[in-house]
Amino acid sequence: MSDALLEVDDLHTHFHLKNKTVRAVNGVSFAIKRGEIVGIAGESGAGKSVACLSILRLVPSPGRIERGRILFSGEDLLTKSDRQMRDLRGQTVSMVFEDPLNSLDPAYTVGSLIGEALILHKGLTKRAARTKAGELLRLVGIPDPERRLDNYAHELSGGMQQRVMIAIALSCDPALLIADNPTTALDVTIQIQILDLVKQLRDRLGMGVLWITHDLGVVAKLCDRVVIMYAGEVMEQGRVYDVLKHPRHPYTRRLIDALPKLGRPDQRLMPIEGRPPDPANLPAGCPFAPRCHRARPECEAGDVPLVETGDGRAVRCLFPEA
Amino acid sequence: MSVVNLPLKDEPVDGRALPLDAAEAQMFRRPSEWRIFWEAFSRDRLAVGAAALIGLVCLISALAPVLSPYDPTVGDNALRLAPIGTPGHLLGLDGQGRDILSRLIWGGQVSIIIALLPVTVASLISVLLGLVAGFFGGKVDMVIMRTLDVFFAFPAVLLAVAIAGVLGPGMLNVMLSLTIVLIPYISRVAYMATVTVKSELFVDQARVSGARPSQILFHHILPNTLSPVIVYGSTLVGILIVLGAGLSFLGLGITPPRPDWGIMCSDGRNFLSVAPHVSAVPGIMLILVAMSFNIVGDGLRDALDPKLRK
Amino acid sequence: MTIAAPPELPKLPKLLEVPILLEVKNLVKHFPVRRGFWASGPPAAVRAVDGISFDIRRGETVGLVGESGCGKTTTGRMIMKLIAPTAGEIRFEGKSIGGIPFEEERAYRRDVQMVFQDPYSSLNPRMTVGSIIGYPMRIQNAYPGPARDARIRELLELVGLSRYQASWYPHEFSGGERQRVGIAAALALNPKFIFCDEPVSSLDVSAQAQILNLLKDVRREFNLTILIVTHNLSVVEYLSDRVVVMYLGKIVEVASTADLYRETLHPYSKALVSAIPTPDPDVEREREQIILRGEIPSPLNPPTGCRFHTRCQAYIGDVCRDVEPELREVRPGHFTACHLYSGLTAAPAAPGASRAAGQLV
Repeated sequence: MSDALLEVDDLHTHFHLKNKTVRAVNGVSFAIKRGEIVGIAGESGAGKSVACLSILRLVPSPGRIERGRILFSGEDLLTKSDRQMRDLRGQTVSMVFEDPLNSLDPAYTVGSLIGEALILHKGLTKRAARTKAGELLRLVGIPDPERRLDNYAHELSGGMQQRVMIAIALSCDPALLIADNPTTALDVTIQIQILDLVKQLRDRLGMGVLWITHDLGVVAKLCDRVVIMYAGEVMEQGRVYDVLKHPRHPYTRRLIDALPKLGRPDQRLMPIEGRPPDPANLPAGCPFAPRCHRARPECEAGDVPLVETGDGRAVRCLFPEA
Repeated sequence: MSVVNLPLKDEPVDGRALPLDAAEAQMFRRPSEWRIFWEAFSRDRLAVGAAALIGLVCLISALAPVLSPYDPTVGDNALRLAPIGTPGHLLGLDGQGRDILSRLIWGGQVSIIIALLPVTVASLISVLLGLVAGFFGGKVDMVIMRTLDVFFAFPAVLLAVAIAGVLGPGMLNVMLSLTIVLIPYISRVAYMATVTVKSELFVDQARVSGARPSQILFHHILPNTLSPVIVYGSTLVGILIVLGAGLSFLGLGITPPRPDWGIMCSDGRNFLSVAPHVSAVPGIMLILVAMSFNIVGDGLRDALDPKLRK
Repeated sequence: MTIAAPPELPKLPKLLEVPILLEVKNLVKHFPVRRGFWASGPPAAVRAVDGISFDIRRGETVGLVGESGCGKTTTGRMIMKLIAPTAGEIRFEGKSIGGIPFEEERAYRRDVQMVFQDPYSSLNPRMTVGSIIGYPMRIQNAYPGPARDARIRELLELVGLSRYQASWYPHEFSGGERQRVGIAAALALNPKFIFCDEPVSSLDVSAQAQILNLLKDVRREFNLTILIVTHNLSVVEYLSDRVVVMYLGKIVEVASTADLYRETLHPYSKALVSAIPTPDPDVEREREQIILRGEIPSPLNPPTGCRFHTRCQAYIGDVCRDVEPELREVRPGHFTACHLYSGLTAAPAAPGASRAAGQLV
């Protein structure tokens, strides 16, 4: 418990629609320590975003957290009141989203957007908030911050907008930053600036970071540990080096094999056959079994447990690779 | 169709082993557009009901000469203002002793045509204007749309009243004024649809294939523009039923002695306390039919959306 | 601002003289910007493409790479005749494609086809995929009669779908499958040249791999010449023989794929290569991490001299700010536009020697 910042334990989040139940998250467990950057990786539809929204209890209805515990600094967030959660969000745990243009209110200047959280949570005066906002803009590497405070979001480039989002997220010194794919829409040279920024901020401020992405390359660049998700379950997790260099779950291995690798253009890409399962209609047993080249009948028979193999490594597979 | 495993190369979709030719013929037979549309539309039972109601009303009104029990213009003074359920007069009589049911049936002809015809004519003109303005852009766009914008400055109802006032009463003039009022609104819908579709990549694909602008307009832009116009149009019919009745109510509509639901409402306004049914019956009819058109419009919107098919 | 005299068309030393299929010469595209009534100064324009030249040989796959605002997509759209150039010319099989009569343009469109970026917008939702694939044939009156249906089925199978899916609508397919339909439509007229505009950027990892493999297979089978525009250098490496790197409307480097990755010359290309995330932690650890300063400038107002000088980690001095470097052949078949190699400075500095402080915080 000492430096475990966040512990998600057996989280289940389901969406109850008119004639079916979409089981977006099915038994996800992972932990983040203070100062650690953990990546949640997987293809679209794997449940990554829903899992993180669940942490902040921002799952839109008809979604509901069915089961599980979310321990933040030892306290279960699922037992907190709405009011306590509101205090938590934006202050202790903040979130950065994928599309900054949609998340930044176009009617307000950058200064107001950043200042809003400061005034709300920390009770600063308008002037103090403006000063702090300028400092934050400098912190996230925006040149000429005083002038930027009076810009509107749409007047800035994509990279700058994302930095503004990060500035807003950092304004109240959160202990945990959750980022949902914030760099997918950015050019690579800008993305690498943002990734570098996040690493430096982590070093400076010591916060924990949860980074959702579908790009394993970003995981390799940024994260300390990674959680691989598929169909709402954790397939594998561990230190980035271990998981990416020596993947044990067949899905992880197939994900890596499907990517074109810099420096090896002649290696034919190996796509994964088939399609991900319908989250409203999940098969029994391992969800990846229908597409897995190592699957055997036992895989689809019953639930496959997540087995810890020491050193923070865990695999949910009956026949993992060595 | 979310979790279908793709059929292997020569296996028919339903898995049964059919001889190749018959299977191919079967798989290639596309259900006709009408069938697809009907299947989608019939899923919305409310819309189907509303459509049935409209159909019934139209049918009865069309058969007025046959179905109307009495001459709608001749009154029996002795039975003035007789209430609903008076023997021989199901819906009672109005201030001049005329049978309300007969006037309702005959009136339907006017009230519905006054709504349907302007919408249809205005839609045809508007689709043309919107397509041309949206597709060619530039100066053409500016000239057409800015001219239409001038009309937006006037509230529709006021404009209809003004034009009708200038032209004078009479069915044709009413329809003319309503048509003119509608054109800017429908044109805008057609224009927005055209502009949206024009920026879709499949239009570029058509250009890259060598399609002429006229081919692009007909094959791609028009079909995608028609649906929003049809949906909007059906809502407008509902509005026009009421608007047309309003014009008649104000005396700017058709000339008596021909009945329409608006005039019927107007006729009864002096008797609201003693014989409310004279105004209420045509009023209720107006509401029912207008709402039905709205509901059908909603149903059409869902049925015409290609993504909700199959 | 005058454009510098055009460099000689690069002549690639090849064992066999393969004919040039498509040539781009001094291509320029400026998009005029409408400004308010009270705006002063010269009329503004977005200088999307500002004088580029390159060629593509028969059977080659050329990758055109760069980030936002570099002009790669605009270049491709000019090649597809979706927009007209402001200046310069494009030649296909030796003949200019500008200002030609309609029949010749139709013939051009039979030979030159396109695969689009967004599989959700590039298929008309109201048409079945069979009609979509058949549409180019219908427009061009190719394969009349029952032969057309047969060809549609053939094309569906070629791209890995089932012939029985011809009557399905686009929304019934996944993104990767829709992109296959797009490829089938592009192949319908048996083109010689295909322009792929970011064909895999909006796809999942697995679909990406499938489409890239499909493109490789189809290219081999039909001896296609391909121009692929993308920002993803690992995709380019997988598919292309040669790479053209663009920045803010100009070409900064041209090389064979192997040469580009083995010895990246231009500082921007180096930064680009170093920024591509790759899922191999060893590679990530070992390679040089170049983090550029600042944002990509706006093509409305590109920097003077070398357009990259405002962010360049190898900035030499005033020459970079004042003089625009020419594209010249620095190694055999390897061209770059950079003062490190232009001979206008003292002995070419080792790339990366004067690395600007790239730290941001």
